[in-house]
Order: sequence, then structure tokens, then C-alpha cells
Amino acid sequence: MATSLIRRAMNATSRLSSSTVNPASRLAVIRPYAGEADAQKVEPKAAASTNMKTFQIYRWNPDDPAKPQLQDYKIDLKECGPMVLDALIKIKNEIDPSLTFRRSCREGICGSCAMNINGCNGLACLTKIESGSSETTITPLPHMFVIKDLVVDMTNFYNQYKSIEPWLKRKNPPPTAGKEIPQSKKDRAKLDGMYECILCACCSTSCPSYWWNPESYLGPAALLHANRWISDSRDEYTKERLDAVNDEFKLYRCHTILNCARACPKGLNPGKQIQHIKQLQLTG
Amino acid sequence: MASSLALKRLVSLNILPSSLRVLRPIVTAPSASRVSNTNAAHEDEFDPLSPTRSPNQAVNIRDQFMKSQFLSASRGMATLAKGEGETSESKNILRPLSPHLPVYKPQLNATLSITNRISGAFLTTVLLFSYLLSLKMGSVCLTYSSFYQFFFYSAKLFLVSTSVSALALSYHTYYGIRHLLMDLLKVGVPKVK
Repeated sequence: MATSLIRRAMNATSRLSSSTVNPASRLAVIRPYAGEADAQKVEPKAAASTNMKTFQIYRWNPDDPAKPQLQDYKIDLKECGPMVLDALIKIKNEIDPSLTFRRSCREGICGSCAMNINGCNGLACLTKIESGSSETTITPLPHMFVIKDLVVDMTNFYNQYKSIEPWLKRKNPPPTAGKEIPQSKKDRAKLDGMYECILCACCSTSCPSYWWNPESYLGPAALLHANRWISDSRDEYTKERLDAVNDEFKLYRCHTILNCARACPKGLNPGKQIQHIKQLQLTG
Repeated sequence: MASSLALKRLVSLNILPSSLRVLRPIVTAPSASRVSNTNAAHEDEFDPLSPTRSPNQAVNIRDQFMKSQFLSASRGMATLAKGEGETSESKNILRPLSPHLPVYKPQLNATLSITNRISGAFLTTVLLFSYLLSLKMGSVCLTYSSFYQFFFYSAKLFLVSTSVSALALSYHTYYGIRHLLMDLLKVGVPKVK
């Protein structure tokens, strides 16, 4: 607004000085800033100063059900943050507002933005965009029912987590009534590597065994949490928890494929925890 | 599995899940018609016309409603926006399954595992059916001449097939030993990224 005012003032003075309005004189007006004419120049698609990258994103709309498609989007990496989530948000803001995905914390702690990026499961907010001109393929978490675009139905996953009863269960009251149950540092260290799980479902949906038996096999995430409660020294229902999982399908569909450990965005190893449960089944 | 699918189909035909209807057998006629007409089912739990329930029962009904809602939500029920006054039916669209095998990047540990399974299957067929080949062959080839021809020409493949089965056997054995070591001695577990 200020630029247009100044420009009109300068044009008025130039018109006063010269009798006829001369386009050349208008162009010769001194400009210390980039004027409106420069701003309206259309930027070329792939000039030397842009770094275009193509994203192939899985699209499916329940309101217009057709076969799911991979849709291409080109964005300039120079004007985008480093993570895949930044690219998705940029696409949604500027190119296609109908792109649907879950996201919340943008820092890798909530687990909402879990999806399959370039063939590996991970959190979009923690996965850097690969530099180079190769295409990035983004699909939802594998072998889950798609609600829309990159949003999948997680109810089965959450129900499996609920089924292992992820809370402290005791038969006796705490040793000092009204105070917390004491736990030594060593016992607390046994829970490291399990309590950090954010239930993003990257591990379970990377496990081929979970793909073929999603309703009967509990999956690495639920079994990791089962181990977390089994190994908790304050919990007194260890035997019952082990018996609840000691089923041909719930636990023993794990064939140590170990895709889960590769997929976990927090660096946890659910395969190791499942081996721990299996060992406890043998000995205890 | 089939029965649960049938239940889902049945549920999708009516707006209210069957559990909620089962829990209200003594419902009077006017509220029953309300139950079948409206889509906003949540108000029915606190229906002033129905007999008063204890809070536990109300929570139980709500939990069962939510559970059966999850049952039906897993595949088909793409419901239109609730909160509209008039009746809105739920479209029974089958949701697609997100791509798994075509999309997932093959990884070293997963490839080793599936090769173990394939070699195991191959060895099983070879070991169990080689006896059939060698012992039962006599009774068959006396009758068919094309059988003779087949075995004559495929005899050159014997060396190749023994090499392949030796490869499969050795791989399967090594993988089995590695598995044992991983389980018992925690040796050779792949590093987490």
C-alpha cells in the first residue's frame, strides 16, 4: 500500500515535470525497492535457484471412491523445511488442501504422523527429505484399512494394546500405605527401552507376520508393552500376564523377522523384548 | 472371521449397533421408533422416557456402543457427518487396504528370514517327495511312455537340483544356528538404527 502511494506520488511529480505521460519516463523513476511490476513477474518453474522435488503421495477419497492413486506434487525444497512433514504441510497449504494426514507435535513424540516414506515406516516429522532429484513415495502405514489419503484405521491396534492390560496390577497393598511403591534404580533400568514407546504403530505395521494375522497376532508394539509390564518389579501379576500371552497366535507368530527394530523411529527394539518374553515363557 | 463380517454387514444396515438395541428390550413403542429413525444415537442413552439406569449401567452401555462402533468402523462404515437433523444413511463403502508388499523396502533381516522359510519349504517337499519319486516310479512308468521321455530329459537336471537343495540345506542350517545363538546367547542380534 505504501509502495503504491509512493509510486503514485512519483508518477504525479513526473507527470507535472513532463507534459505528456511517457511510459519511458515512468520506467525511469528511481526505485530503491523492488516495485509492483517486478513482483508480478511469474517465477519460472525450475530456475537455477530452485530445487524441485517430486512427491508421490497415496490418495484415496471415501466420498468419491475409486481406485487409490499415487498423485505427484512438485515442491521447491529451498522454500520448505527439512522434514517430510514440512513438505506435506506445504503441499496442503499451497497446492492441494484436500491432502489428509494426521499430525500433532511435529517433534517426534506424539506418534500421529507415522507413515511409510520411501518404503520404510517412520514419523514424517523426524524423517528428513532425501536430497537429490529422486522421487519420494509416501504411502500410509502398510496393511491397514485406509480412512482417507494417509489416515489409517488404528482401532485394531489400540484394542490389542488395551487387551494386554497396560496398568499396574497388585495383589497386596503397597508396603507403606499411602505412599508410592518403592523401586530400585536397577529395577527401573529394566524398563528402559520400553517406556519410551509412543504407540506410533510403525513397528507393528512393518511386521509381515502382523500383516498376515492382524487380528490374532498382537504385534511388536503391544508385546513390547506387555514386556514392560511383565518386567516391572512393582507389578505382581507377572505369571498371569505371561499366561495371557502364551498363545500360539498372540506371541508365537513372531518369527524374529526384526523389521520392527529397523522401523522404530525412537530407536527401540521390540524384537528383543519379544525374545525376552519367550525366554520367560520357557523358564518361568 | 466370516461371522464377524456378517455382523458388520448387519450392523451397517441399521444405524444403531445391535448391542444397544439388545440392551433395551423393554423400551416402549415411541422411543423404539425414535431409536430406529434418528442417526444421532447418543441422546438415546439419556432418554428421559426410558427407565432410569444406574451410572454403571449407563457407562456399560456407552462402552458397548463404542466397542461395536469400533467393530463396524474397521472396514466399511464411512458415515456421513453426524449432527444433521434429518436422517442420513451410512454408505457401506469398503475401505482399501494400504499397500504392503509392493511398497515396503526389502530389508536384510526380513529377506534372510523369508529365504529361510522358502528354503525350509523347498527342503520339505524334496525330502518328502523324493521317496515317492524313487519308489513309486516303477509302478507308473511301465504304463506311460511320455513319462520315460520326461525322466530321460530331466535327468540332466539332477546335478543342478542337488546343488540347489544343498544350498537350501546349508542356508537353512546356518540360519537355524544363528537363531539359536540369538535366542540363547544373544549373539548376532542386528543393531537397531
